[in-house]
Amino acid sequence: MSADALSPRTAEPARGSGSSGSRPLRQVLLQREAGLAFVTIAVFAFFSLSAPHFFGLANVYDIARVTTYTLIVAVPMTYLFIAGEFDMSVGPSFALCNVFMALLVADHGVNPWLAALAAIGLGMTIGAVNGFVTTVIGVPSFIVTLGMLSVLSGIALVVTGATAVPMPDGIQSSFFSATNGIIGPLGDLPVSILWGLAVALIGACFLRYTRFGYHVYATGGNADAARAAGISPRKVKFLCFVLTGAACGLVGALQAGWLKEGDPTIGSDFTLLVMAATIIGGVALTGGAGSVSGTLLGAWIIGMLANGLILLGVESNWNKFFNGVIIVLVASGELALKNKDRLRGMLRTLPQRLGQSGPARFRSRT
Amino acid sequence: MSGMPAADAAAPLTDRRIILSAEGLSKHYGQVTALDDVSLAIGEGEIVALVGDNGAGKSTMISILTGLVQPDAGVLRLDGEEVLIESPRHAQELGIATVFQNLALVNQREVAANLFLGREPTKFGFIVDRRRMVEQAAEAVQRLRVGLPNVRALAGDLSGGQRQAVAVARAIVGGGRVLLMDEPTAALGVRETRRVIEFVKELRAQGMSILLISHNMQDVFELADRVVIFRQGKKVGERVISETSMDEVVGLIVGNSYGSEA
Repeated sequence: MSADALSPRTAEPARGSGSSGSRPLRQVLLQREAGLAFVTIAVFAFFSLSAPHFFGLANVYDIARVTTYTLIVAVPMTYLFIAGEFDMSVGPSFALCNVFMALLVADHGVNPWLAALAAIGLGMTIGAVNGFVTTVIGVPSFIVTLGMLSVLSGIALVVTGATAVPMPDGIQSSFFSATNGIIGPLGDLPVSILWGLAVALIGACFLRYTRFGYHVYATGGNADAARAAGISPRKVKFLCFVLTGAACGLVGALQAGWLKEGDPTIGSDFTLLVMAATIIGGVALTGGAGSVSGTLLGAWIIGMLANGLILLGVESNWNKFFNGVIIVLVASGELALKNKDRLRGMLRTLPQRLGQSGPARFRSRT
Repeated sequence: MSGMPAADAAAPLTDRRIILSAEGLSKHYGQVTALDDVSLAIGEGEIVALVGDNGAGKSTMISILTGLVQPDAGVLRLDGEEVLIESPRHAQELGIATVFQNLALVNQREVAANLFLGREPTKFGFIVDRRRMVEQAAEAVQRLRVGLPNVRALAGDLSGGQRQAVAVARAIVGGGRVLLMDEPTAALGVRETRRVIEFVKELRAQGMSILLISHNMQDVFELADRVVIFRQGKKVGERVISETSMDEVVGLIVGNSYGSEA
């Protein structure tokens, strides 16, 4: 009995259990990246043409500078999403590390570099707590990090009496040039942009090329498969939480260096910005897919929107509104793409959409 | 157990060199006896089918052989040496590889990455040597003749039979020489089933020892050299495939040729 004699229609309709659409998964992933790059360029072009002073080195630097903290935390957040978890406490974690650093320098005279390391250590500890409760006790990260969000912002407000913590006026340290300096020969490039780009570059390579990166993808793609292959999904997730915490500590320190003060309320919108950058950047909400380059573009899209809308004269509070809308739209879009066939079926049953050419046109694309 | 028909406990009906054997295994879960003094042996380059109705003890057998659970009584031997299979990891190290029904593949990743999942070849100890990985994967796929076109394809884009091939190739790349296959053709189309049957035969030709668990009598009779029949936790028969018939095996599975249940 030859295989070819059997019904050829059962051959290979590429029906991996993972992709419910009829298109190959690889194509879906590539299209998402291409679409994101296109959107980034489109947003840039739109504001360049419509918003006064948007197009120009100074403004581009400004966007990148404002985006850099979001980016630094969105990189490990990308790891977390790919591994199938996320962290809502990054905003208050950023704020607490920020005031911690400022208090160390202002009240205890600690060297700013050492205080920055301490802030990163604090961030890692916070990440470790999130990771421990999620992976060892097994509480969903949504609950853990939501609770942590409140805990951390509470601590930050209490220890500072809800007021900013300024560092002494005359304080001198190379730390401040490394965080709020500008590089003249590069058109007054703010140094803080380089921190963001460095984190993104290292983060991208680490995720893409190292064993740990492979295991992050495997953990979120199929935890059972990972476990069967001797990878510990718990350990991978835990490390991702710690990395995210470390990034919060880093931005807390950078911010303290930038303004020479600590502000317990600094992180109020930060969680949303980081989430938005990551989700727009195309991580799979169910884990297993995503990239740092996508997140980089996502962060820039968010930054351009904030900047461009202000330049267009839109009241800046609308920003929150738009960021929220974009998150929901992008997430809906991803699921709609995933369930394309089902949506097509629903459309087909709509009489007004049907027409003669409707189904044929849809079919011809598969 | 007295009065047990046709199952002469330890001596399997083969003259091949025995690679893996289980002798007098029992396993109880509370009041329930999942396995009752069963024995089983797999020879070199041999496909042994394990059949039985739901609840016959096949899953418990697989769980014991893969180190997921420990038997209450009985011994396991690998190459004649008594072994304790402590964990799935340990089973792998011993060369006992399992291909489960819900093939554990990461859909979003390449075939090569799936083949080397958890043991990626590296440079400097932490950077994945992707080129070497892809080369080795292609080489393994070629050698095993499992019919995978491209090791750079995403696992999620493969057909059911190809996914089975990836899972099997991974088991073998990991050093497996005894392969436990749990319902490898369940949920596959006709043509995909053919494909799997062909490469399982190919694996036997390469000297692999395979324990095949299947409900599909056609597959069993096409592939297996011997068949072992479980019913309600007991081994109720063992037959050389060329000396038995589907009717006889089905009869042993449902038990009607031996009257009511024990």
